[in-house]
Amino acid sequence: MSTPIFQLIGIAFLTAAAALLVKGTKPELAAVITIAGGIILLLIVLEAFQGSLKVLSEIAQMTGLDSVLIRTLLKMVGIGYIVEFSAGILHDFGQGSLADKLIFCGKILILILAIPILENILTLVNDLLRLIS
Amino acid sequence: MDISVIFRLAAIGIIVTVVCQILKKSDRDDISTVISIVGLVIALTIAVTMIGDLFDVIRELFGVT
Repeated sequence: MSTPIFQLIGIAFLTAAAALLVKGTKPELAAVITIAGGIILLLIVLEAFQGSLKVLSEIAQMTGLDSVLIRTLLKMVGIGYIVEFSAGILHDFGQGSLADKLIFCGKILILILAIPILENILTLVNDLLRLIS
Repeated sequence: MDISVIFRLAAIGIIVTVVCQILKKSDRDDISTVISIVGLVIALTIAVTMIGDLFDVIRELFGVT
C-alpha cells in the first residue's frame, strides 16, 4: 500500500458510524469503539513509519553523531506520541483536566530527557573556550 | 490489525442492548444491568489488549522503555 490514506479515512468514518450507532443506548461503549478505531489508525501508520525510521537511523549513523543523541531524540518522539494518544482517549472519556495534566507530565519527561544533551553541549563549549583562551 | 475489531465491538453493543430490552420487558431488570456490565467488560478487555499491542509497537519502535 503506497499511501494508506484512503484506508485510514475509511476506517475513521467507519469507527464514527459504529460509535454513533451504539451511542444512543450505550454511551460508554461508544467511547470504547472510538478508542479501538484510533488504535487501528495508529497501528497502520506506525507500520508504514517503521521503514522510514530505519532509513532515518542509517542517515544518522552516517553523520557520525553520537548514537545516544539519536536514541534520546527517538525517545522524545515516542513519549510525545504516546502522551498525545492517551490524552485523546482521556478526552473521549470526558476527562479533559486529566488529559491536560498528562500532557504536562509528558512535557516534563521530555525536558528531563533533554537535560543530558544540554550538558553535552555545555561541556563541548567549555572545552572550546579553554582551547581559545 | 483490521477493521473486524470495530465490527465486533459494535455487535457486542447491539446484542447487549437487545438483550437488555428483552429482559426489561419481562421485568427482570437486575439481570439486564448485569448483562450490560458484562458487555462493557468484554469491550473494555478488547480495547485494553489493543492498547497493550500499541504500546508494545511504540516501545519497540521508539525505544521508549
